[in-house]
Amino acid sequence: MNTTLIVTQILTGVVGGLVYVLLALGLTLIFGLMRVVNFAHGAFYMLGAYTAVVVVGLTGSFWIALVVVPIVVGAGGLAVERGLIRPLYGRSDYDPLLLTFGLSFVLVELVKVVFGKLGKPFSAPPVLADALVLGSLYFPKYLAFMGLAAIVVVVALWLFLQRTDLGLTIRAGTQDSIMVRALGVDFDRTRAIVFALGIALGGLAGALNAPFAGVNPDMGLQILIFAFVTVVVGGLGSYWGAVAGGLLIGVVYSLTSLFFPQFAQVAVFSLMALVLLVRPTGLLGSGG
Amino acid sequence: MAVVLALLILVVPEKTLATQLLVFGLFAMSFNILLGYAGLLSFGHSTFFGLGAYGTALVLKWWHPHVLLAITAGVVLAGATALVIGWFCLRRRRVYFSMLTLAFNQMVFFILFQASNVTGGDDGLRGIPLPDFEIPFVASIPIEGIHNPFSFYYFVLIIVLICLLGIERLLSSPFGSVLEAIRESEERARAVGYNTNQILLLAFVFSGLFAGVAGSLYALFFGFIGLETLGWVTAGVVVMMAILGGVGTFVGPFVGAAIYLVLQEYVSKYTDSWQLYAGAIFMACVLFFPQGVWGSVVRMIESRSTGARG
Amino acid sequence: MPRLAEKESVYTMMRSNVPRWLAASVCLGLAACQPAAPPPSGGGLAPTSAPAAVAPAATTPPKPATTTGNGSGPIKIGLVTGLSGAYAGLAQGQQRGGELAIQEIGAVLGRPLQLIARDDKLDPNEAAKQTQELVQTEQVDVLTGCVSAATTLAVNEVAKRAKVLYLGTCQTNALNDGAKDWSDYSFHMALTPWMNNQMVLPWITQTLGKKIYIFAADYAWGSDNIASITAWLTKQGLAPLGQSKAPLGTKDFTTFIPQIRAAAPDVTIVVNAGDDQANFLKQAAQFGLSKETKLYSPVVDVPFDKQNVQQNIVDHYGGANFYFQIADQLPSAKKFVDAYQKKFNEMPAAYGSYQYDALKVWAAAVEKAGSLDPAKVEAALEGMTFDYSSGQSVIRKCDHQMIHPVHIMKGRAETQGDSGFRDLVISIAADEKYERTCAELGLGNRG
Repeated sequence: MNTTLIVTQILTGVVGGLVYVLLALGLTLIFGLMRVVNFAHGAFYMLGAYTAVVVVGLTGSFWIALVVVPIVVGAGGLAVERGLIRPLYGRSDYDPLLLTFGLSFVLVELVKVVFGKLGKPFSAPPVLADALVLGSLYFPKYLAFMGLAAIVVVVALWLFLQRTDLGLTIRAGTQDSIMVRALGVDFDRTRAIVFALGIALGGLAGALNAPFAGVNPDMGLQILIFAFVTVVVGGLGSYWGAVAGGLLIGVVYSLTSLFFPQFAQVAVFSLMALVLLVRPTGLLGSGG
Repeated sequence: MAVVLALLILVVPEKTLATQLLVFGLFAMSFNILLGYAGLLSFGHSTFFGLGAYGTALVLKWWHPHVLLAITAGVVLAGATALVIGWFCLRRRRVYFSMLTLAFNQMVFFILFQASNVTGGDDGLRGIPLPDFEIPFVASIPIEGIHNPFSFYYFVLIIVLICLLGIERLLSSPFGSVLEAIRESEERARAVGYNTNQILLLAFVFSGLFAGVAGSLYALFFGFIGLETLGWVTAGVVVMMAILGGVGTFVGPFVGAAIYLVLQEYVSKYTDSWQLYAGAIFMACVLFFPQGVWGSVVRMIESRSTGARG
Repeated sequence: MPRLAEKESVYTMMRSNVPRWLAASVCLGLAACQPAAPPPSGGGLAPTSAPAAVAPAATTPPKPATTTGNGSGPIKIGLVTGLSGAYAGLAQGQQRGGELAIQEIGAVLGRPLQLIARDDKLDPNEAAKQTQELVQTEQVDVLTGCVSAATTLAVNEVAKRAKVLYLGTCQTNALNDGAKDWSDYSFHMALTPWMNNQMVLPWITQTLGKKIYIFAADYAWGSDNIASITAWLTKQGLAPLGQSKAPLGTKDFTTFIPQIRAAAPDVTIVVNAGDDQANFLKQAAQFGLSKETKLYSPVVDVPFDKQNVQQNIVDHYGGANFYFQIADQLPSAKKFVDAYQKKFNEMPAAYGSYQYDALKVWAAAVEKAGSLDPAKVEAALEGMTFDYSSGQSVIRKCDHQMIHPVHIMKGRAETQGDSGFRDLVISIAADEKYERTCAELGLGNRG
């Protein structure tokens, strides 16, 4: 067991964790503002990957796909919020959760009908096809790119929330939605934008991860569970909690894959159970 | 209802489906003790269904006792696990509770998966015998499902009916009332002096016990149990069944199970994407019929009979 | 507050007096809605073919259906397989192989054949249920089919109880194991993971290298393969360089590949299939693993390769019970490929071959036995030799295990024509010595 291997493992864990971060940020934004647990998030992640396949098929450019995917998937999110989630406001906490649960089945089956049950091949753009070699460290360029792209998105989103008016409204709405409405803000519009934003993040994650993780109809389910674990561990509603949680889960999974590979999945679940029992608001969350 | 269910098998051409209807109906009812009556959404209820199945199956396979004894063993295993898991999960409420039930479900699944020498792992547990039902000094009735579908069905029916009666007694008792009070507002219930955690734990255990009965019966069907019996897909299916039928009524989840199973059986003969339709119907239920199919029917009948709705 | 009232209206119905007859009529209504008998083939995906055949048969001309012979009506063959789900393509190939077989066979004992396919959705519980329904409602005369080990054992369990012969057509170590699932009714018409590896390891260690790393998914099939490989290496005085198992359901192997690379093996045996195989090969290429080590998969098949891009398959070795390229070398394979292509307009794949062989040899056994009685057909099947599509094979008497050749295929640099992903490297002939002995399987007394 040499150091290079451990370093590589940590790096792959960080990059994998950043995908969870993107998904968790979407989930946590949506929950923070709207108190909606979006079970369909994994399905939108999958849709992001399939949209990338279609865009690359049409334009031949992976970079165009990266730009188009969040827009298209985000628009889909807008439609979903409008038509399916909005009628549920004011009802029980469980209703949007259950609705999105059903929606995830519907979306996955639709994709199977349109694109077939088997996966679609999808490769990284040729410029990123090989690897970075630093001594004995061998790290695929695409993974490095993916990590950097995710970091850029995380920071940009944070700045957006901190520095813009809309970001201010969102943060205020997360803390006290009644007050925000009383102050005259069009809260419906804010909610719609936040939902679309969260979904767009999920779709982008799907497109980014597609060259490595592949594109198939069931790809959303497995990763959704990990995204939930991330959110819970980091703290529902906490921005940097989602980031810390994602990185932690990614590295835990990666290191367990190295030392106790069969237990990698159950280790993540155990971690979540532990956090929930000891510190239910998550590592960085504030009063639930 | 008992009469109808008793006649059901004569009408339905597929006997296995009819028997499955009974078992999953009971499973959904047990689940609803938690969701409908206690207000707790569990994403890991298949844990107890599955443990009931595996417990009964292993006892039958290794000790060949009377079938009722084997069922008891499975139920005890399910109930004991429910006590432990419930204690942990009930440290939290709402979404956190749900996530904890899922996490524990995955852990139990993993344990049974790794213990493949005992459970068969993902190959499943095979070779489960089903001895004849012995009434001491009176008769020995063969109930094995393939050769005696009617006996098997009535055997399952009797047990399910007893359980439904049990659940009904439980929920219409003072215990049931307190449970519903906790669902409406746990703070208020606590203010009045109830130990809500204990009561919820008791509900959790009862729910687990009845799910265990359903699982035990399921183990007797084919001589085989797949590992997915306690997986997250089964856990999700029971949620769908309960919501589909209507969590706000007593019988709703049973009807929901029936609808789901019938849909699955017949829609999947014509299309691969039957889950698309199931998901769409489920969404429609959440949006437009939060009382579920059965609940909406009941409400319609009630408003007709009482005139204006209060 | 509006929220509470909304909740109340849902739950107050719990205390209301609902006439029980209402529940009754709903259930009765549901029951009455069901058709009198289920449609002949499940899923409506592929029509069952007409019995009287016109296509050229492999060895004997098809017999015209007559109304004489014992029993009335067609002989029913129940096929339970994963028609929906991740391996739908394989299942479809399996069903088609079966349909081609019964078309060529024509009639058995003067009665036409009917293939009734049911979908197990890759769930063993569902497989058991479908099998039970086939036995009870359709009263099938023989059962067959599977794409996953768990479902095959479920079907076998029900078949045993129902006392109907079952021809399992997918890989598992358990079906011919006297201590596990074997019974007089169980026939395993596919390779076992044990045999599959024992057959190829001599060639692998000679040609590709002796330092072997084994990577598998953590489930029965994965573990069975690891066990076989490790046992063989131990007998040679070697040991695997390393091994690791990924949790079941892993699609992203990024966290597992660096450790394989770090071990620097000559050969990496990658035990997975389908989507997972395609994903692994892609990720291996990206990590440069394919340049550092030779990659071998115990099972490769056209549908898996179709999900991948050729550049990820280049120089990838794999074992196959059947891959259509062998038609260049093997006359029986050529006949099968031509007939299949003519009927379905695509190349046959591994599961199609398994199913074709299974039904053809079964039909021959029934004719030989002169009856459908399971005991007589069982006796006729034992020891039967045949070569219908992929080389000389035999059904061993003691454990009803098909002893079958393995063909090693290598990924080409470029796809040639439709489905031309691989070249045949070598065919290893069937030999009983590769499988566990009858004694080891607890069936020594059956000789």
